[in-house]
Amino acid sequence: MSHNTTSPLFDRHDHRSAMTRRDFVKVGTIGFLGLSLGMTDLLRMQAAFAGEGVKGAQAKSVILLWMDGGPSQFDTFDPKPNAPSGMKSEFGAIKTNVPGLEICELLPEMAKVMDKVTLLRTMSHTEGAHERACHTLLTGWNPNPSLVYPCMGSVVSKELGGVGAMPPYIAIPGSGFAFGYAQAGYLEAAFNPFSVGGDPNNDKFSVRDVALPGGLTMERLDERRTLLQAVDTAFKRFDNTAEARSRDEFYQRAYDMISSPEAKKAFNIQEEKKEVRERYGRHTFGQGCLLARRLVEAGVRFVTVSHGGWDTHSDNAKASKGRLVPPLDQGMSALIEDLHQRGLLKDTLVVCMGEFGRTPQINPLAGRDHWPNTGCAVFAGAGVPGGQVIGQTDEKGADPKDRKVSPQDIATTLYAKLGVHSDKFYTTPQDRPVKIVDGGTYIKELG
Amino acid sequence: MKPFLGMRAAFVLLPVLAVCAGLGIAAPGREQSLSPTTMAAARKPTPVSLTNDVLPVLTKIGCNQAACHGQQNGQGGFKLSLRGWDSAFDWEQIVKADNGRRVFPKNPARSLLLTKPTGQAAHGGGVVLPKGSPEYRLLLRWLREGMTAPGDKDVYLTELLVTPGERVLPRPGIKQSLSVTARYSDGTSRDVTKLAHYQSQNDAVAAVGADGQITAKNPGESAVMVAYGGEVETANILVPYPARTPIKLPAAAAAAAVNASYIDDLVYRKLAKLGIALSGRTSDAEFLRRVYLDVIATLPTPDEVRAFLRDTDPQKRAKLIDRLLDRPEYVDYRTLRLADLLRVNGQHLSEEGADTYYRWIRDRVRKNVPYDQFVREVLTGRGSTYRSGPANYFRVAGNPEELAETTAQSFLGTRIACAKCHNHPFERWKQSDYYGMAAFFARFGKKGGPEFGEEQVFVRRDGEARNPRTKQVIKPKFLGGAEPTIDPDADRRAVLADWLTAKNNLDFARVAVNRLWTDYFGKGIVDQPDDFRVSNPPANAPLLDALARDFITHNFDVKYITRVILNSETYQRSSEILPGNVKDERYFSRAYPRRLPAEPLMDAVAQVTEKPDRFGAYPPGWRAIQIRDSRIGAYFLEVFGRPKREILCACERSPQPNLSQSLHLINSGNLNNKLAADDGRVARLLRRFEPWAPAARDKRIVEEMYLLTLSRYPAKPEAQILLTHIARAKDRRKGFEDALWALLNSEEFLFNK
Repeated sequence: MSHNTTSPLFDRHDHRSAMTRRDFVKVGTIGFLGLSLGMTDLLRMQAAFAGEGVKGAQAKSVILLWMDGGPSQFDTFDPKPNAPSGMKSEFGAIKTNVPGLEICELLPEMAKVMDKVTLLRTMSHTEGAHERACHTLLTGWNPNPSLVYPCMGSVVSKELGGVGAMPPYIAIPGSGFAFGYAQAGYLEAAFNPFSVGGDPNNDKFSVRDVALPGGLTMERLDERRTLLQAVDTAFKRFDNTAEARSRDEFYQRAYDMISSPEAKKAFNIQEEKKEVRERYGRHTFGQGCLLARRLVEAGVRFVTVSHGGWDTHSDNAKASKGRLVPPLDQGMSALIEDLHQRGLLKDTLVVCMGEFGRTPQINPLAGRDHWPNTGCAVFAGAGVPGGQVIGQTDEKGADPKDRKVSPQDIATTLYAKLGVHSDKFYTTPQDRPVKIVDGGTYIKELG
Repeated sequence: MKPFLGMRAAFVLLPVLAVCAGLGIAAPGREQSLSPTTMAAARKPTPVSLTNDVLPVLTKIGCNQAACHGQQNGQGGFKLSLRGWDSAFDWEQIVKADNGRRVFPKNPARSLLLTKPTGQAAHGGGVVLPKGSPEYRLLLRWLREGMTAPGDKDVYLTELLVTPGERVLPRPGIKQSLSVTARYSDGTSRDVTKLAHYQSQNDAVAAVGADGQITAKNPGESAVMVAYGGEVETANILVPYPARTPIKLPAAAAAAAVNASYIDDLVYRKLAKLGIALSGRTSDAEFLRRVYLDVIATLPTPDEVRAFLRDTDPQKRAKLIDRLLDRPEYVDYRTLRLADLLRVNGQHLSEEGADTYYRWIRDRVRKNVPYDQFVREVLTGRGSTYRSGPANYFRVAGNPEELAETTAQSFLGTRIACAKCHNHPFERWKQSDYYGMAAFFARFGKKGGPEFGEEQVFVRRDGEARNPRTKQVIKPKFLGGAEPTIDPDADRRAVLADWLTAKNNLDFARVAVNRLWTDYFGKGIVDQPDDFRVSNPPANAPLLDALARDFITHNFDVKYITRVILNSETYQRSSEILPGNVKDERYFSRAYPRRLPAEPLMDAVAQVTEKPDRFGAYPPGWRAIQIRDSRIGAYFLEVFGRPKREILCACERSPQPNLSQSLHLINSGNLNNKLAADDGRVARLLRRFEPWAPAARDKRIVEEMYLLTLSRYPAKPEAQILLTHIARAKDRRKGFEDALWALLNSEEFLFNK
């Protein structure tokens, strides 16, 4: 045994024979801290895992914070302060509330909640184009020339359905990101996300068309609904086509939402106290995070908050410091803290990622280009251990040195947290049987 | 890791052993036998070639896949070009890189190139090459011969022959072997069946093993892609549906077809091959609504519906098509579709540029300028973006690479972006194709002014496209075609335009007619219309070719070919689903119902309610289909999937339904105000029929509402549903508002069926 048994992280467990999952998880952190373990120890710990399958559902909901365009790992969660010039980030690294863990100085608020998250520094795949990478990350499948796969939110909608009048899958501020891959793909359109369709930071923000317009009463709307059903039934329908079924489903959900006071309340972000709104940050992303928390409280299964503009082929540092990282820092840290304080973090999984990382080399336009070899993702809640780092990259931040995690692994884990089996088969409209995820292994470090 | 297939094969790729291939399995359909040239080549051993022998082996055993050494940064320090596309690079990597550590010339068998894949040395990818196998011996021979480097004078692959090219497999379970022959520039050919890479487009129809053996699985059609040495071909496999009734063209429909056309014949042949039944003909009312919405994006008025249904002229459908093609709304709608294609967006062109571009397109459509001429004018645009429409083409896409991608995708339906960084892994596009196209756009320049936001496009005498790695100049090369000789004073863009739009370039016409077909059927013969590739073959290739030839013969006359399409029985087929065509979503055995696109739907609501919308600074009465600049819009248009004209993709227009659409139609203040307005449809109808006797009056108003929204008379029970509601309503006018609301929200209104 070559590691330091007096480490505070190990003071309660010094009997190797009684190693638990928690210890193993900590070993990941130890590895990051630069301590080393012998091969036999690792094997022993892996043996302690054997036979331990994926737990039942640990999460009721997922909040996906989607960094559209591919965030720079250097200017967020994998700073390389010793990288050579031409590669080194303009920003330094700061300490966090986890000893030995440093992140970019643009993330001071996240630094205070790192004890509640697991940081993955070796998210790795081979798709270097946005649309292909978005498809891979959001669906768990590499792009296929003849099929668009359903994204995770759509699969979760199908598997778990909604709670009450709330749609199961909601996109904030809208679903127009990731080249349209945050959609139902080959599944019926009924599993497409509901777009809130506005900026929650706007003082007049409300979800359109949920409140009855002037001159209309609920009673009259009910009458209209009955009338429409009669009109539709009298007409020879399209023989139960997917289009017709999706439309019926959306009409049903629309009526549910219009007639539900709870739904209107969930979207009413103005109810929040001023301090709370400010803690999340008065910008689209921060208020999106706050709205996501309200929606999860109301039973929504899958909420995506997208934060775009990370495709920094030029002026990466300027964009990072300005419009990109500070809102992320404020919004995500507030969300984790708030969910924790409300006791919601234990059954809400928060995932933050984009389609890929960015090049270590800074290009002539002061930008960073696409880099699928490695990138960062952050996980919190639903049994995910805090203060942990999975994987480390080489000194340039260019390649994983160990523990590569694939998009398929991430999708498999996300589904497992919700109790969805990712090796289940769906049938495409062409009667082709396909698994929900193309392989993938549960990321055991995520608890 | 894929199973290693060469293992069972005792015969191999080497020319010297090629004669053994003649012992290949005598499988059904295998027509290929060794040609004399192959035999000749086989007798005379030639040095092992990296490009033609070694890399195909590395590809087959998976070394240079995107998941292994073929990835962007290599694997374990060893990087190969993706699927062996760059043999010069691979030679460097294998022989020279890292001080030549991968080869050991003194004792070739101890080279890492052999000891790693055979598992003699630790290898993260495992054992992929059995020691002593024919493939192993081939690599060894290359090493022993001194690792010949690829050179310019090397023999190269010219053609891939796949037999059979098409096969009907009558029942699931039936197997078919493929035979693949590679032809080389020196006239030799070689059986590469064991080395080619196979992929089925739809493995639920036809599964393919790594040895090229196909097994029919379920009824349908699937192309099997065969890739080898950078070339791609397909074998088309059909598995017919068990026909419940004999498939034949309904005699009545055939007789009724005024312009009985080749379209129907070719569609029918394909359906017969697959055993898919044909639905019947649309009723007059269904046809009327469909053709109005498709051609002029406008609902027929109640008077137009009545007149058409009353008309007994057997030619009335053809005559209606002619009338619609002459209406100004046809010009509006066709201009809208072209403005989508060319991405007329003030965000990038400024307001005046977008306006100039739009007005130019509209003028060309109004004059029915032949499509080849239209495209030539676009590609050679120059001058001020505020004076000349086509100059804006060079602003939407602003540099040679973007222009190459845009031109290939817009007019050849081909997505070549992958080839910017490497040869396309599964298609025939090579990096030289990409930069060869870019080279046509290397000699134009832009300068700002004189007005704010204005730009001048001009042609220069210098400028070249360069390979991004070697920095070598790449000469202009037609996509998938020749390198033309170009006069230094010539506008390279004009040379490209002439080749593109030439009458012998069938691809240009195919893409053009397929776009038109997509406009009128909601689905292309190739779907999506900008995704032509070997691995996405047309649903009906003879049909696409016949249309393309007809279009060329008629000098790219858009109205002519549109007329041919609209007059076909295929266009006029009902959407009724029969037991024999339930599964058909591809071969046009029936019409596929489509939700109205955003702009026509919004206009239809305005037309029905008689309450037009206002768009930006456009004058009152301006319709959504007439909006010039995609920045101008409305929430309605956004929610129903109007494209922003930001990205180069036909998929930007979304036909998808979503919850926001339902909420908006059910509950928006906008729609409710239109229904309740004193100068709106409901109030006007009530006033108009006020003098009538009460019983006749309400019935007539309901009839008008049906004609307005659904372009047909209500059936008795349908009218009764609305009349009962109105009779019960406390407020009669509100009762009618509810009735019109229900019609506007009905499935039949929202869809073009």
